[in-house]
Amino acid sequence: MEIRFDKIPEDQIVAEMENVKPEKEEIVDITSPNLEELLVAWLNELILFFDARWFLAKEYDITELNEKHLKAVVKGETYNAERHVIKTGIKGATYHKLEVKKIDGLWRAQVIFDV
Amino acid sequence: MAIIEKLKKIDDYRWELPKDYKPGMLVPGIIYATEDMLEHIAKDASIDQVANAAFLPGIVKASLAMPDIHQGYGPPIGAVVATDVKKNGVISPGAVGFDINCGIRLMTSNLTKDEIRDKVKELVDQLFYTIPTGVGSKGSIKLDAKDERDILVEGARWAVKKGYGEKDDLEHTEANGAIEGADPDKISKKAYERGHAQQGTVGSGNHFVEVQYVEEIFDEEAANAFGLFKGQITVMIHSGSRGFGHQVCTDYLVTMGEAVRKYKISLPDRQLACAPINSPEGQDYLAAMRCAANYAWANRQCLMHWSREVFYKYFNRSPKELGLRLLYDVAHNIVKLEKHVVDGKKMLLAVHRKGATRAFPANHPEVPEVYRKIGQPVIIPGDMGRASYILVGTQRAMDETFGSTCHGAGRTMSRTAAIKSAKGRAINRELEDRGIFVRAAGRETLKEEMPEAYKDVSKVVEVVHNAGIAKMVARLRPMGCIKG
Repeated sequence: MEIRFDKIPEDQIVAEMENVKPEKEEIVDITSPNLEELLVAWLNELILFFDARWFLAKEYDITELNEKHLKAVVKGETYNAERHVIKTGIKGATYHKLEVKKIDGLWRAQVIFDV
Repeated sequence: MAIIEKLKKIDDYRWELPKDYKPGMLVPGIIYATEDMLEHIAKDASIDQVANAAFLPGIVKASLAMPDIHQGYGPPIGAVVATDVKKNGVISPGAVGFDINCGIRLMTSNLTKDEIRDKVKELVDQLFYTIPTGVGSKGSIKLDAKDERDILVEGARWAVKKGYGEKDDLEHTEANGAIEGADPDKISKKAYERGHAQQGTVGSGNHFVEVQYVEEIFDEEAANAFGLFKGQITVMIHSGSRGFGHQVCTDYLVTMGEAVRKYKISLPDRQLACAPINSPEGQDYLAAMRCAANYAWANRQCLMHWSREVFYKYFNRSPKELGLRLLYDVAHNIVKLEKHVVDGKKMLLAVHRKGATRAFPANHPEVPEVYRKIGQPVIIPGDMGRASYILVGTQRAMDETFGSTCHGAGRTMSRTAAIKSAKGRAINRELEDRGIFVRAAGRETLKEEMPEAYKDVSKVVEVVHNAGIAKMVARLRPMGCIKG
Protein backbone atom coordinates (compact mmCIF):
# COMPACT_ATOMS: atom_id res chain seq x y z
CA MET A 1 0.00 0.00 0.00
CA GLU A 2 1.32 3.41 -0.91
CA ILE A 3 1.36 6.12 1.69
CA ARG A 4 1.10 9.73 0.62
CA PHE A 5 0.17 12.77 2.58
CA ASP A 6 -1.52 15.78 1.04
CA LYS A 7 -0.64 17.76 4.10
CA ILE A 8 1.69 17.10 7.00
CA PRO A 9 -0.05 18.38 10.17
CA GLU A 10 1.48 21.65 11.24
CA ASP A 11 0.41 21.30 14.85
CA GLN A 12 2.66 18.91 16.68
CA ILE A 13 0.55 17.18 19.25
CA VAL A 14 2.77 15.45 21.81
CA ALA A 15 5.95 17.54 21.84
CA GLU A 16 7.85 20.17 19.90
CA MET A 17 9.94 18.09 17.51
CA GLU A 18 12.76 20.50 16.58
CA ASN A 19 15.07 19.32 19.34
CA VAL A 20 14.25 15.63 19.13
CA LYS A 21 17.13 13.62 17.61
CA PRO A 22 16.53 10.34 15.75
CA GLU A 23 19.18 8.50 17.76
CA LYS A 24 17.27 5.52 19.19
CA GLU A 25 15.16 2.89 17.48
CA GLU A 26 11.94 1.09 18.33
CA ILE A 27 10.38 -1.62 16.18
CA VAL A 28 6.64 -1.88 15.60
CA ASP A 29 5.15 -5.13 14.30
CA ILE A 30 1.36 -5.29 14.60
CA THR A 31 -1.57 -7.17 13.13
CA SER A 32 -5.25 -6.08 13.22
CA PRO A 33 -8.49 -7.38 11.69
CA ASN A 34 -8.87 -4.38 9.33
CA LEU A 35 -7.29 -1.14 8.20
CA GLU A 36 -9.12 1.13 10.66
CA GLU A 37 -8.16 -0.96 13.66
CA LEU A 38 -4.62 -1.24 12.33
CA LEU A 39 -4.36 2.56 12.36
CA VAL A 40 -5.56 2.72 15.99
CA ALA A 41 -3.15 -0.07 17.00
CA TRP A 42 -0.24 1.76 15.30
CA LEU A 43 -1.01 5.03 17.08
CA ASN A 44 -1.44 3.22 20.39
CA GLU A 45 2.05 1.72 19.97
CA LEU A 46 3.49 5.23 19.62
CA ILE A 47 1.52 6.39 22.68
CA LEU A 48 2.90 3.46 24.65
CA PHE A 49 6.47 4.34 23.62
CA PHE A 50 6.18 7.75 25.19
CA ASP A 51 3.99 6.91 28.18
CA ALA A 52 5.97 3.84 29.24
CA ARG A 53 9.46 4.50 27.87
CA TRP A 54 9.59 8.31 27.52
CA PHE A 55 10.49 7.74 23.89
CA LEU A 56 9.66 10.65 21.58
CA ALA A 57 9.19 9.35 18.04
CA LYS A 58 10.46 11.54 15.21
CA GLU A 59 11.11 9.48 12.08
CA TYR A 60 8.99 6.61 10.81
CA ASP A 61 10.11 4.03 8.28
CA ILE A 62 7.16 1.78 7.47
CA THR A 63 8.75 -1.30 5.95
CA GLU A 64 5.72 -3.56 5.55
CA LEU A 65 2.11 -2.53 5.20
CA ASN A 66 -1.11 -4.12 4.08
CA GLU A 67 -4.73 -3.94 5.26
CA LYS A 68 -3.99 -6.04 8.34
CA HIS A 69 -0.31 -5.77 9.10
CA LEU A 70 2.23 -3.05 9.73
CA LYS A 71 5.94 -3.22 10.40
CA ALA A 72 7.98 -0.10 11.03
CA VAL A 73 11.23 1.21 12.40
CA VAL A 74 10.68 4.33 14.49
CA LYS A 75 13.57 6.62 15.37
CA GLY A 76 13.58 9.19 18.12
CA GLU A 77 14.98 10.11 21.49
CA THR A 78 14.31 9.61 25.19
CA TYR A 79 12.52 12.60 26.72
CA ASN A 80 14.83 15.06 28.41
CA ALA A 81 13.06 17.77 30.42
CA GLU A 82 15.89 20.23 29.80
CA ARG A 83 15.73 20.06 26.01
CA HIS A 84 12.23 18.90 25.08
CA VAL A 85 8.92 20.70 25.33
CA ILE A 86 5.88 18.51 25.97
CA LYS A 87 2.62 19.84 24.60
CA THR A 88 -0.16 17.35 25.38
CA GLY A 89 -0.30 14.04 27.18
CA ILE A 90 -2.05 11.69 24.73
CA LYS A 91 -3.45 8.74 26.61
CA GLY A 92 -5.05 6.66 23.90
CA ALA A 93 -6.30 6.52 20.30
CA THR A 94 -10.03 5.77 20.26
CA TYR A 95 -12.38 4.03 17.82
CA HIS A 96 -14.85 6.89 18.18
CA LYS A 97 -15.79 8.32 14.75
CA LEU A 98 -12.82 6.46 13.32
CA GLU A 99 -12.52 6.74 9.52
CA VAL A 100 -9.96 5.74 6.92
CA LYS A 101 -10.89 6.62 3.34
CA LYS A 102 -9.20 6.86 -0.03
CA ILE A 103 -10.22 10.04 -1.85
CA ASP A 104 -8.77 10.86 -5.28
CA GLY A 105 -5.83 8.56 -4.72
CA LEU A 106 -4.99 10.02 -1.31
CA TRP A 107 -5.70 8.53 2.07
CA ARG A 108 -7.62 10.50 4.61
CA ALA A 109 -7.97 9.35 8.21
CA GLN A 110 -9.85 10.67 11.19
CA VAL A 111 -8.87 9.56 14.68
CA ILE A 112 -9.96 11.01 18.00
CA PHE A 113 -7.43 10.84 20.84
CA ASP A 114 -8.14 10.68 24.54
CA VAL A 115 -6.09 13.37 26.25
CA MET B 1 -36.44 17.84 14.25
CA ALA B 2 -33.84 18.97 16.75
CA ILE B 3 -32.92 16.29 19.26
CA ILE B 4 -34.06 18.47 22.15
CA GLU B 5 -37.64 18.39 20.85
CA LYS B 6 -37.63 14.61 21.10
CA LEU B 7 -37.18 14.79 24.87
CA LYS B 8 -40.27 14.36 27.04
CA LYS B 9 -40.37 16.33 30.26
CA ILE B 10 -40.91 14.11 33.30
CA ASP B 11 -40.45 16.96 35.78
CA ASP B 12 -38.21 20.04 36.14
CA TYR B 13 -35.09 17.86 36.53
CA ARG B 14 -35.83 14.73 34.51
CA TRP B 15 -36.20 14.27 30.75
CA GLU B 16 -36.99 11.11 28.87
CA LEU B 17 -35.46 10.20 25.51
CA PRO B 18 -38.11 7.77 24.21
CA LYS B 19 -37.14 4.29 23.10
CA ASP B 20 -38.41 5.00 19.59
CA TYR B 21 -35.91 7.84 19.12
CA LYS B 22 -33.57 5.37 17.40
CA PRO B 23 -34.48 1.85 16.26
CA GLY B 24 -32.40 -0.59 18.28
CA MET B 25 -32.69 1.16 21.66
CA LEU B 26 -33.63 -1.46 24.23
CA VAL B 27 -34.69 1.03 26.91
CA PRO B 28 -35.40 4.78 26.98
CA GLY B 29 -32.86 7.36 28.08
CA ILE B 30 -33.32 9.55 31.14
CA ILE B 31 -31.38 12.78 31.47
CA TYR B 32 -31.17 14.68 34.75
CA ALA B 33 -30.98 18.39 33.88
CA THR B 34 -32.85 21.68 33.90
CA GLU B 35 -34.36 23.01 30.69
CA ASP B 36 -31.62 25.67 30.49
CA MET B 37 -28.92 23.04 30.77
CA LEU B 38 -30.46 20.95 27.98
CA GLU B 39 -29.90 23.78 25.51
CA HIS B 40 -26.21 23.50 26.18
CA ILE B 41 -26.14 19.69 26.41
CA ALA B 42 -27.80 19.48 22.98
CA LYS B 43 -24.88 21.35 21.39
CA ASP B 44 -22.67 18.26 21.36
CA ALA B 45 -23.48 14.62 20.56
CA SER B 46 -24.07 13.55 24.15
CA ILE B 47 -27.86 13.05 23.92
CA ASP B 48 -27.36 10.85 20.86
CA GLN B 49 -24.77 8.94 22.87
CA VAL B 50 -27.37 8.36 25.62
CA ALA B 51 -29.45 6.67 22.90
CA ASN B 52 -26.46 4.65 21.69
CA ALA B 53 -25.78 3.32 25.20
CA ALA B 54 -29.38 2.04 25.25
CA PHE B 55 -28.34 -0.53 22.57
CA LEU B 56 -26.10 -2.42 25.03
CA PRO B 57 -27.58 -5.94 25.40
CA GLY B 58 -29.07 -6.64 28.81
CA ILE B 59 -29.44 -2.95 29.75
CA VAL B 60 -32.00 -2.52 32.53
CA LYS B 61 -34.56 0.26 33.06
CA ALA B 62 -32.92 3.19 31.23
CA SER B 63 -29.72 4.65 29.82
CA LEU B 64 -29.11 7.32 32.46
CA ALA B 65 -27.32 10.65 32.15
CA MET B 66 -26.32 12.96 34.98
CA PRO B 67 -26.47 16.80 34.68
CA ASP B 68 -22.71 17.03 34.03
CA ILE B 69 -23.16 14.93 30.88
CA HIS B 70 -20.88 15.76 27.96
CA GLN B 71 -19.70 14.03 24.83
CA GLY B 72 -17.44 11.02 25.34
CA TYR B 73 -16.33 8.04 23.28
CA GLY B 74 -19.17 5.52 23.17
CA PRO B 75 -21.50 6.48 26.03
CA PRO B 76 -21.30 10.11 27.17
CA ILE B 77 -19.34 11.14 30.23
CA GLY B 78 -21.90 11.33 33.01
CA ALA B 79 -23.53 8.01 32.06
CA VAL B 80 -24.90 5.23 34.24
CA VAL B 81 -25.62 1.95 32.46
CA ALA B 82 -26.72 -1.16 34.36
CA THR B 83 -26.94 -4.57 32.69
CA ASP B 84 -28.52 -7.77 33.95
CA VAL B 85 -25.78 -10.27 34.81
CA LYS B 86 -28.11 -13.28 34.71
CA LYS B 87 -29.82 -12.42 31.44
CA ASN B 88 -26.74 -12.26 29.24
CA GLY B 89 -26.08 -8.61 30.00
CA VAL B 90 -22.85 -7.18 28.65
CA ILE B 91 -19.86 -5.45 30.13
CA SER B 92 -18.35 -2.58 28.11
CA PRO B 93 -14.94 -0.93 28.64
CA GLY B 94 -16.25 2.14 26.79
CA ALA B 95 -18.97 2.53 29.43
CA VAL B 96 -16.28 2.72 32.13
CA GLY B 97 -13.87 5.02 30.32
CA PHE B 98 -10.16 5.04 29.66
CA ASP B 99 -9.12 6.22 33.10
CA ILE B 100 -10.42 3.27 35.11
CA ASN B 101 -11.26 4.32 38.69
CA CYS B 102 -10.56 7.92 38.05
CA GLY B 103 -11.88 9.17 41.36
CA ILE B 104 -11.70 11.62 44.15
CA ARG B 105 -10.84 11.72 47.83
CA LEU B 106 -11.13 14.37 50.49
CA MET B 107 -8.90 14.74 53.51
CA THR B 108 -10.14 16.91 56.37
CA SER B 109 -8.05 18.67 59.04
CA ASN B 110 -8.18 20.54 62.33
CA LEU B 111 -6.79 23.65 60.59
CA THR B 112 -8.91 26.67 59.77
CA LYS B 113 -8.89 29.08 56.87
CA ASP B 114 -7.77 31.98 59.08
CA GLU B 115 -4.76 30.02 60.35
CA ILE B 116 -3.36 29.30 56.90
CA ARG B 117 -4.52 32.26 54.80
CA ASP B 118 -1.02 33.76 54.57
CA LYS B 119 0.68 30.42 54.10
CA VAL B 120 -1.24 28.98 51.17
CA LYS B 121 1.24 30.09 48.51
CA GLU B 122 4.16 28.39 50.27
CA LEU B 123 2.08 25.34 51.06
CA VAL B 124 1.06 24.97 47.41
CA ASP B 125 4.72 25.32 46.35
CA GLN B 126 5.69 22.56 48.80
CA LEU B 127 2.94 20.28 47.48
CA PHE B 128 4.10 21.01 43.92
CA TYR B 129 7.74 20.14 44.70
CA THR B 130 6.81 16.97 46.60
CA ILE B 131 4.05 15.40 44.51
CA PRO B 132 4.86 14.36 40.92
CA THR B 133 2.50 16.01 38.42
CA GLY B 134 2.29 16.39 34.67
CA VAL B 135 3.00 14.48 31.48
CA GLY B 136 6.17 12.40 31.64
CA SER B 137 6.59 12.76 35.41
CA LYS B 138 7.93 9.73 37.25
CA GLY B 139 6.87 8.69 40.70
CA SER B 140 9.34 8.07 43.50
CA ILE B 141 7.87 4.61 44.13
CA LYS B 142 9.95 1.83 42.64
CA LEU B 143 7.87 -1.27 42.06
CA ASP B 144 9.59 -4.65 41.85
CA ALA B 145 7.97 -7.56 40.01
CA LYS B 146 6.13 -8.72 43.15
CA ASP B 147 4.87 -5.23 44.02
CA GLU B 148 3.61 -4.77 40.46
CA ARG B 149 1.26 -7.73 40.93
CA ASP B 150 0.46 -7.22 44.63
CA ILE B 151 -0.69 -3.65 44.05
CA LEU B 152 -3.29 -4.88 41.54
CA VAL B 153 -4.86 -7.21 44.12
CA GLU B 154 -4.34 -5.21 47.30
CA GLY B 155 -4.94 -1.64 46.05
CA ALA B 156 -4.78 0.97 48.81
CA ARG B 157 -4.05 -1.87 51.28
CA TRP B 158 -0.72 -2.33 49.49
CA ALA B 159 0.06 1.37 49.92
CA VAL B 160 -0.75 1.31 53.66
CA LYS B 161 1.30 -1.89 54.10
CA LYS B 162 4.26 -0.08 52.52
CA GLY B 163 3.89 2.85 54.91
CA TYR B 164 1.91 5.24 52.70
CA GLY B 165 -0.95 5.89 55.08
CA GLU B 166 -2.91 4.56 58.02
CA LYS B 167 -5.23 1.60 58.49
CA ASP B 168 -8.16 3.93 59.16
CA ASP B 169 -7.80 5.31 55.64
CA LEU B 170 -8.92 1.97 54.20
CA GLU B 171 -12.21 1.98 56.10
CA HIS B 172 -12.93 5.37 54.54
CA THR B 173 -12.35 4.24 50.96
CA GLU B 174 -14.93 2.74 48.60
CA ALA B 175 -14.50 -1.06 48.59
CA ASN B 176 -11.96 -0.54 51.41
CA GLY B 177 -9.49 0.47 48.72
CA ALA B 178 -9.35 -2.92 46.99
CA ILE B 179 -12.08 -4.55 44.96
CA GLU B 180 -12.14 -8.35 45.04
CA GLY B 181 -11.70 -10.50 41.96
CA ALA B 182 -8.70 -8.72 40.42
CA ASP B 183 -6.50 -11.08 38.42
CA PRO B 184 -2.97 -9.84 37.54
CA ASP B 185 -2.68 -12.60 34.90
CA LYS B 186 -5.27 -10.77 32.81
CA ILE B 187 -2.96 -7.76 32.39
CA SER B 188 -0.80 -7.29 29.28
CA LYS B 189 2.94 -6.68 29.34
CA LYS B 190 2.25 -3.25 27.87
CA ALA B 191 -0.02 -2.29 30.78
CA TYR B 192 2.59 -3.44 33.31
CA GLU B 193 5.13 -1.36 31.43
CA ARG B 194 2.97 1.79 31.50
CA GLY B 195 2.11 1.30 35.15
CA HIS B 196 5.66 0.62 36.30
CA ALA B 197 6.81 4.18 37.04
CA GLN B 198 3.45 5.96 37.32
CA GLN B 199 2.28 4.77 40.74
CA GLY B 200 2.10 7.78 43.06
CA THR B 201 1.72 10.43 40.34
CA VAL B 202 -1.12 12.90 39.75
CA GLY B 203 -0.90 12.83 35.95
CA SER B 204 -2.14 15.51 33.59
CA GLY B 205 -5.45 16.84 32.30
CA ASN B 206 -7.98 17.71 34.97
CA HIS B 207 -6.24 15.83 37.79
CA PHE B 208 -5.15 17.82 40.81
CA VAL B 209 -4.39 18.20 44.50
CA GLU B 210 -6.29 21.17 45.93
CA VAL B 211 -6.26 23.00 49.27
CA GLN B 212 -9.74 24.25 50.13
CA TYR B 213 -11.88 25.50 53.00
CA VAL B 214 -15.44 24.67 54.02
CA GLU B 215 -17.42 27.76 53.08
CA GLU B 216 -20.96 26.65 53.77
CA ILE B 217 -22.72 23.82 55.57
CA PHE B 218 -26.16 22.84 54.25
CA ASP B 219 -26.84 19.77 56.38
CA GLU B 220 -25.55 20.04 59.96
CA GLU B 221 -26.28 16.45 60.92
CA ALA B 222 -24.45 14.96 57.92
CA ALA B 223 -21.61 17.49 58.23
CA ASN B 224 -21.13 16.47 61.87
CA ALA B 225 -21.08 12.80 60.94
CA PHE B 226 -18.51 13.55 58.21
CA GLY B 227 -16.40 15.68 60.61
CA LEU B 228 -16.88 18.88 58.58
CA PHE B 229 -17.14 22.39 60.06
CA LYS B 230 -17.28 25.90 58.62
CA GLY B 231 -13.85 27.41 57.90
CA GLN B 232 -12.13 24.01 58.03
CA ILE B 233 -9.20 23.29 55.71
CA THR B 234 -9.57 20.29 53.43
CA VAL B 235 -7.40 18.71 50.73
CA MET B 236 -9.03 17.21 47.66
CA ILE B 237 -7.20 14.70 45.45
CA HIS B 238 -8.37 13.83 41.94
CA SER B 239 -6.50 11.18 39.99
CA GLY B 240 -6.91 7.70 38.54
CA SER B 241 -5.08 4.64 37.29
CA ARG B 242 -2.79 6.65 35.00
CA GLY B 243 -1.28 4.96 31.92
CA PHE B 244 -1.92 1.55 33.47
CA GLY B 245 -5.71 1.91 33.33
CA HIS B 246 -5.58 3.46 29.88
CA GLN B 247 -3.64 0.50 28.55
CA VAL B 248 -6.10 -1.96 30.15
CA CYS B 249 -8.94 -0.12 28.38
CA THR B 250 -6.99 0.03 25.08
CA ASP B 251 -6.15 -3.70 25.26
CA TYR B 252 -9.70 -4.78 26.07
CA LEU B 253 -11.25 -2.56 23.38
CA VAL B 254 -9.39 -4.80 20.93
CA THR B 255 -10.66 -7.95 22.71
CA MET B 256 -14.20 -6.57 22.78
CA GLY B 257 -14.03 -5.58 19.10
CA GLU B 258 -13.48 -9.27 18.34
CA ALA B 259 -16.14 -10.32 20.86
CA VAL B 260 -18.73 -8.11 19.16
CA ARG B 261 -18.12 -10.04 15.92
CA LYS B 262 -18.05 -13.39 17.73
CA TYR B 263 -21.29 -12.85 19.66
CA LYS B 264 -22.94 -10.98 16.75
CA ILE B 265 -23.74 -7.89 18.81
CA SER B 266 -25.02 -4.94 16.81
CA LEU B 267 -23.88 -1.51 18.05
CA PRO B 268 -24.11 2.02 16.63
CA ASP B 269 -20.58 3.01 17.78
CA ARG B 270 -17.47 0.84 17.83
CA GLN B 271 -16.37 2.45 21.08
CA LEU B 272 -19.34 0.71 22.79
CA ALA B 273 -17.68 -2.67 22.11
CA CYS B 274 -18.69 -5.20 24.75
CA ALA B 275 -19.11 -8.86 25.59
CA PRO B 276 -21.55 -10.80 27.76
CA ILE B 277 -20.36 -10.53 31.36
CA ASN B 278 -20.40 -14.27 31.70
CA SER B 279 -18.32 -14.87 28.55
CA PRO B 280 -14.56 -15.48 28.86
CA GLU B 281 -13.92 -12.02 27.31
CA GLY B 282 -16.31 -10.34 29.76
CA GLN B 283 -14.81 -12.11 32.76
CA ASP B 284 -11.28 -11.28 31.64
CA TYR B 285 -12.09 -7.57 31.28
CA LEU B 286 -13.84 -7.53 34.67
CA ALA B 287 -10.77 -9.07 36.35
CA ALA B 288 -8.42 -6.65 34.54
CA MET B 289 -10.62 -3.61 35.22
CA ARG B 290 -10.52 -4.51 38.92
CA CYS B 291 -6.71 -4.56 38.77
CA ALA B 292 -6.74 -1.04 37.34
CA ALA B 293 -9.28 0.10 39.94
CA ASN B 294 -6.99 -1.16 42.69
CA TYR B 295 -3.97 0.50 41.08
CA ALA B 296 -5.91 3.80 41.24
CA TRP B 297 -6.88 3.39 44.90
CA ALA B 298 -3.22 2.77 45.75
CA ASN B 299 -2.31 5.85 43.71
CA ARG B 300 -4.68 8.23 45.52
CA GLN B 301 -3.57 6.72 48.84
CA CYS B 302 0.09 7.53 48.07
CA LEU B 303 -0.79 11.04 46.89
CA MET B 304 -2.67 11.67 50.13
CA HIS B 305 0.22 10.31 52.18
CA TRP B 306 2.65 12.80 50.61
CA SER B 307 0.15 15.63 51.06
CA ARG B 308 0.00 14.73 54.74
CA GLU B 309 3.80 14.73 54.96
CA VAL B 310 3.96 18.20 53.40
CA PHE B 311 1.50 19.48 56.02
CA TYR B 312 3.37 17.83 58.94
CA LYS B 313 6.67 19.27 57.78
CA TYR B 314 5.39 22.70 56.85
CA PHE B 315 3.39 23.32 60.04
CA ASN B 316 5.81 21.38 62.22
CA ARG B 317 2.91 19.97 64.21
CA SER B 318 2.04 16.44 65.24
CA PRO B 319 -0.39 14.28 63.26
CA LYS B 320 -2.77 14.45 66.21
CA GLU B 321 -2.78 18.24 66.24
CA LEU B 322 -3.34 18.54 62.49
CA GLY B 323 -5.93 15.74 62.43
CA LEU B 324 -5.49 14.95 58.74
CA ARG B 325 -8.19 12.35 58.26
CA LEU B 326 -9.56 10.77 55.09
CA LEU B 327 -13.25 11.65 54.85
CA TYR B 328 -13.89 9.35 51.88
CA ASP B 329 -12.55 8.16 48.55
CA VAL B 330 -14.96 7.38 45.74
CA ALA B 331 -14.55 6.15 42.15
CA HIS B 332 -16.29 7.84 39.25
CA ASN B 333 -15.19 5.60 36.32
CA ILE B 334 -15.90 1.99 37.17
CA VAL B 335 -18.11 -1.05 36.65
CA LYS B 336 -19.24 -3.01 39.70
CA LEU B 337 -21.47 -5.99 40.31
CA GLU B 338 -24.18 -4.76 42.66
CA LYS B 339 -27.56 -5.93 43.87
CA HIS B 340 -30.44 -3.57 43.11
CA VAL B 341 -34.21 -3.78 43.20
CA VAL B 342 -35.78 -3.18 39.79
CA ASP B 343 -39.58 -3.26 39.46
CA GLY B 344 -39.78 -4.97 42.85
CA LYS B 345 -37.30 -7.69 41.88
CA LYS B 346 -33.82 -8.13 43.37
CA MET B 347 -31.29 -8.27 40.55
CA LEU B 348 -27.54 -8.66 40.19
CA LEU B 349 -26.42 -5.88 37.87
CA ALA B 350 -23.18 -4.72 36.29
CA VAL B 351 -23.45 -1.02 37.09
CA HIS B 352 -21.21 1.01 34.78
CA ARG B 353 -20.51 4.50 36.11
CA LYS B 354 -18.67 6.63 33.58
CA GLY B 355 -18.28 10.07 35.06
CA ALA B 356 -20.82 9.24 37.75
CA THR B 357 -20.39 8.75 41.48
CA ARG B 358 -21.79 6.02 43.67
CA ALA B 359 -24.28 7.57 46.13
CA PHE B 360 -25.51 4.83 48.46
CA PRO B 361 -28.03 5.71 51.17
CA ALA B 362 -28.03 5.27 54.93
CA ASN B 363 -28.06 1.68 56.17
CA HIS B 364 -26.48 0.24 53.03
CA PRO B 365 -23.91 -2.40 54.08
CA GLU B 366 -21.25 -0.92 51.76
CA VAL B 367 -21.37 2.46 53.48
CA PRO B 368 -18.58 2.62 56.12
CA GLU B 369 -19.93 1.96 59.59
CA VAL B 370 -19.12 5.48 60.84
CA TYR B 371 -21.39 6.96 58.16
CA ARG B 372 -23.98 4.20 57.98
CA LYS B 373 -26.71 6.13 59.78
CA ILE B 374 -26.27 9.12 57.45
CA GLY B 375 -25.35 7.68 54.06
CA GLN B 376 -22.27 7.53 51.84
CA PRO B 377 -20.25 10.73 51.38
CA VAL B 378 -20.26 11.87 47.74
CA ILE B 379 -17.41 14.14 46.66
CA ILE B 380 -18.01 16.42 43.67
CA PRO B 381 -15.07 18.48 42.43
CA GLY B 382 -15.66 21.71 40.55
CA ASP B 383 -13.16 23.90 38.74
CA MET B 384 -10.12 25.51 40.38
CA GLY B 385 -11.75 28.94 40.67
CA ARG B 386 -15.24 28.34 41.99
CA ALA B 387 -16.32 25.50 44.29
CA SER B 388 -16.52 21.81 45.09
CA TYR B 389 -19.23 20.00 47.06
CA ILE B 390 -19.76 17.26 49.57
CA LEU B 391 -23.08 15.49 49.26
CA VAL B 392 -24.64 12.40 50.79
CA GLY B 393 -26.20 9.40 49.05
CA THR B 394 -29.98 8.85 49.17
CA GLN B 395 -32.59 6.13 48.89
CA ARG B 396 -33.98 7.93 45.86
CA ALA B 397 -30.65 7.45 44.07
CA MET B 398 -30.89 3.77 44.95
CA ASP B 399 -34.42 3.58 43.55
CA GLU B 400 -33.81 5.62 40.39
CA THR B 401 -30.17 5.66 39.34
CA PHE B 402 -28.74 2.41 40.73
CA GLY B 403 -27.30 4.43 43.63
CA SER B 404 -25.51 6.98 41.43
CA THR B 405 -25.21 10.72 41.03
CA CYS B 406 -23.14 13.33 39.15
CA HIS B 407 -19.32 13.47 39.28
CA GLY B 408 -18.24 17.05 38.62
CA ALA B 409 -18.81 20.16 36.61
CA GLY B 410 -18.29 18.90 33.07
CA ARG B 411 -16.50 20.93 30.42
CA THR B 412 -18.17 23.64 28.37
CA MET B 413 -15.10 24.29 26.20
CA SER B 414 -12.75 21.82 24.59
CA ARG B 415 -9.12 22.05 25.66
CA THR B 416 -8.17 23.66 22.35
CA ALA B 417 -11.02 26.19 22.57
CA ALA B 418 -9.99 27.05 26.16
CA ILE B 419 -6.37 27.69 25.12
CA LYS B 420 -7.52 29.90 22.26
CA SER B 421 -9.98 31.84 24.39
CA ALA B 422 -7.39 32.41 27.16
CA LYS B 423 -4.68 33.63 24.77
CA GLY B 424 -2.70 36.47 26.30
CA ARG B 425 -4.19 35.98 29.76
CA ALA B 426 -2.22 35.02 32.85
CA ILE B 427 -4.67 32.62 34.51
CA ASN B 428 -2.42 32.14 37.54
CA ARG B 429 -2.38 35.89 38.22
CA GLU B 430 -6.12 36.22 37.72
CA LEU B 431 -6.69 33.45 40.26
CA GLU B 432 -4.10 34.91 42.62
CA ASP B 433 -6.08 38.16 42.64
CA ARG B 434 -8.97 36.08 43.96
CA GLY B 435 -6.74 34.52 46.64
CA ILE B 436 -6.21 31.18 44.84
CA PHE B 437 -2.62 30.03 44.27
CA VAL B 438 -2.07 27.56 41.44
CA ARG B 439 0.92 25.70 40.06
CA ALA B 440 0.90 23.50 36.95
CA ALA B 441 3.53 21.33 35.31
CA GLY B 442 2.27 21.80 31.73
CA ARG B 443 2.67 25.08 29.81
CA GLU B 444 -0.96 25.30 28.72
CA THR B 445 -2.61 23.42 31.61
CA LEU B 446 -3.90 26.49 33.42
CA LYS B 447 -5.53 27.79 30.24
CA GLU B 448 -7.07 24.39 29.49
CA GLU B 449 -8.32 24.15 33.05
CA MET B 450 -9.44 27.75 33.61
CA PRO B 451 -12.77 28.06 35.43
CA GLU B 452 -14.67 29.32 32.35
CA ALA B 453 -13.81 26.06 30.54
CA TYR B 454 -16.19 24.28 32.94
CA LYS B 455 -19.89 24.39 33.72
CA ASP B 456 -20.74 25.93 37.06
CA VAL B 457 -20.62 22.93 39.41
CA SER B 458 -23.14 24.63 41.72
CA LYS B 459 -25.81 24.31 39.02
CA VAL B 460 -24.98 20.64 38.45
CA VAL B 461 -25.15 19.91 42.18
CA GLU B 462 -28.41 21.85 42.48
CA VAL B 463 -30.01 19.48 39.95
CA VAL B 464 -29.01 16.27 41.73
CA HIS B 465 -30.03 17.81 45.08
CA ASN B 466 -33.44 18.92 43.79
CA ALA B 467 -33.94 15.64 41.95
CA GLY B 468 -33.12 13.87 45.23
CA ILE B 469 -30.34 11.63 43.87
CA ALA B 470 -27.90 13.04 46.48
CA LYS B 471 -28.28 15.79 49.09
CA MET B 472 -25.98 18.76 49.60
CA VAL B 473 -23.93 18.71 52.78
CA ALA B 474 -21.20 21.34 52.32
CA ARG B 475 -19.60 23.68 49.81
CA LEU B 476 -15.81 23.97 49.61
CA ARG B 477 -13.88 26.92 48.14
CA PRO B 478 -10.45 26.53 46.54
CA MET B 479 -7.42 28.29 48.08
CA GLY B 480 -4.62 26.64 46.14
CA CYS B 481 -4.14 23.90 43.61
CA ILE B 482 -1.45 21.86 41.88
CA LYS B 483 -2.18 20.47 38.43
CA GLY B 484 -0.50 18.27 35.86
